[in-house]
Amino acid sequence: MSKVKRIIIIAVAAVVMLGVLVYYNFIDKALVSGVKIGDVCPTFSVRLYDNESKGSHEATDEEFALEAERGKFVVINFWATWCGPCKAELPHFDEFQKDYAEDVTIIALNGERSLGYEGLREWINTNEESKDWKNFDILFGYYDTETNDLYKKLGFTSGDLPATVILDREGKIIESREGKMSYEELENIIVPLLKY
Amino acid sequence: MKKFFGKIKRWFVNHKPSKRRIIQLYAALLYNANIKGFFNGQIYKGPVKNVCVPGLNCYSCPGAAASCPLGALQNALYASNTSMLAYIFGTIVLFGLLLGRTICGFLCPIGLGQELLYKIKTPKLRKSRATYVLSYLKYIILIVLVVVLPLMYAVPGFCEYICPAGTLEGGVISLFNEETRGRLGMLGPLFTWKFTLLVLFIVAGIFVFRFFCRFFCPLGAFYGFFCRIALLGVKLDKNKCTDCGLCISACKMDIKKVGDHECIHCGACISVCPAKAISWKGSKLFVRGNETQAPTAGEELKPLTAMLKPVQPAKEEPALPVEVKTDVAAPQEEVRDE
Repeated sequence: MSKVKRIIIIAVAAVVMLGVLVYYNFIDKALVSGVKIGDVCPTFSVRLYDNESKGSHEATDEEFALEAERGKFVVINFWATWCGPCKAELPHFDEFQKDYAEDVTIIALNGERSLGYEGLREWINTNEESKDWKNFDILFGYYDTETNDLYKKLGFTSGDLPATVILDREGKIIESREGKMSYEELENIIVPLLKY
Repeated sequence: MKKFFGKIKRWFVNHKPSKRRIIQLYAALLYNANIKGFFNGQIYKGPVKNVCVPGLNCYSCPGAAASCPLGALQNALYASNTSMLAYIFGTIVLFGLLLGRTICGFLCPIGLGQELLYKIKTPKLRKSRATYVLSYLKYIILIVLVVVLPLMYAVPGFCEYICPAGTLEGGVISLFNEETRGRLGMLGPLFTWKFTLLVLFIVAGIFVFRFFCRFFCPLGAFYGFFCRIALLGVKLDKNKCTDCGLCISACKMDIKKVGDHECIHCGACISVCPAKAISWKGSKLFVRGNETQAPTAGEELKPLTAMLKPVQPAKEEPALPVEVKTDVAAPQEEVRDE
């Protein structure tokens, strides 16, 4: 290979590598400036399911509004029907809800467009894995990722589930977590602050 | 002092990486150019993720600049999205047609990783009939885990159950980062299985050349289909070949012929061939004409094979450069004497 050809190839390779590195590390701002711990959580509303009867989850037009929960600790959990750890942790969240009913509201949000509001309701009522969920006290809500992407709104960018946000009584974010959370972890975060 | 620096310089000169190694390193860095991902624990999800790299590099690696062809293919199969499937399959076929398994030899970070592991000085397991048979396992993995499982059970079988690139880049690496360490709590039996496999691949890769590539990689298996028609790669000039088999014994892959479906086109056979019958396909694009031709018969080299099988002399010149006898029968006599 002639020397000139070799120099050209090396130069082009170097330019490409430099360009790529600059693009990915300096130009691409994949980090959505989402909300973080310490921020006041943006308000939102989401369509609920009605589980008063404790027999099954019914469709309702009732909406959950975050502002209405001021004064209580709010635990917002994102889950999906295909996510094993999500489904596994919900019973523990419900236990926590039952134990701290006066001070805490827990809502489990699902945004699976492939199911839709009705499809999710069907899933919850008929699926083997959710057969105990009819006794749950935690709220269930469905949001449309096209019009009301709460997952992104609450600062999550990776698409990973489960994800949980915990707010104090003033609506300030005190925890934002990707990954499963246990009863103990919820306790450790919320119980010390209950007196405030 | 001078001696010391002289030694250092000589070490660098003696251990200069081959061109192929440089290209492998370049590709590995290019595929993982999203270095910020290692620090913020986030996967790059921008527009370039719609493109696949030719080699194996996990989509979920925080540093990954683009997608993995196998991951994308399995995803397209179970998402039953035919246009995406056509696009991805077409891309992989294009890679196969242009590059074939030169991707394995030049453009795959996992291949690079294994070659580096193999450099660790230990006894090595030589290839054998057994390894040749085992090399067909990767075709079974291709069919069952990459095609059947996604189509029938909607799981990315290979990614989920086997791929060490995924375990390492998409799993273990995220444990080093503060942001993503919380995932430790989510690890279950599947991770245990995959981590065990990863350890197996790494340890075996020290003793067995390209353990993962030869026996498990479905991507290599697929690219192997293009061995005859790919534009780039090593090729054997059958006219010059004397069937000495030196290429096959020098080769660390389970080839039966140079350039077959097991060949990763590393070029190690090129320098070994006494008849200079092996060259790079398409080399005329990069190399001047006369550099690709072997020297004409009778010139410099003394082929070992000439001792065993007399090469037909071109212009009544003796095949053996030993005793210059004009009598053509001489070579036969020499052999008989021994």
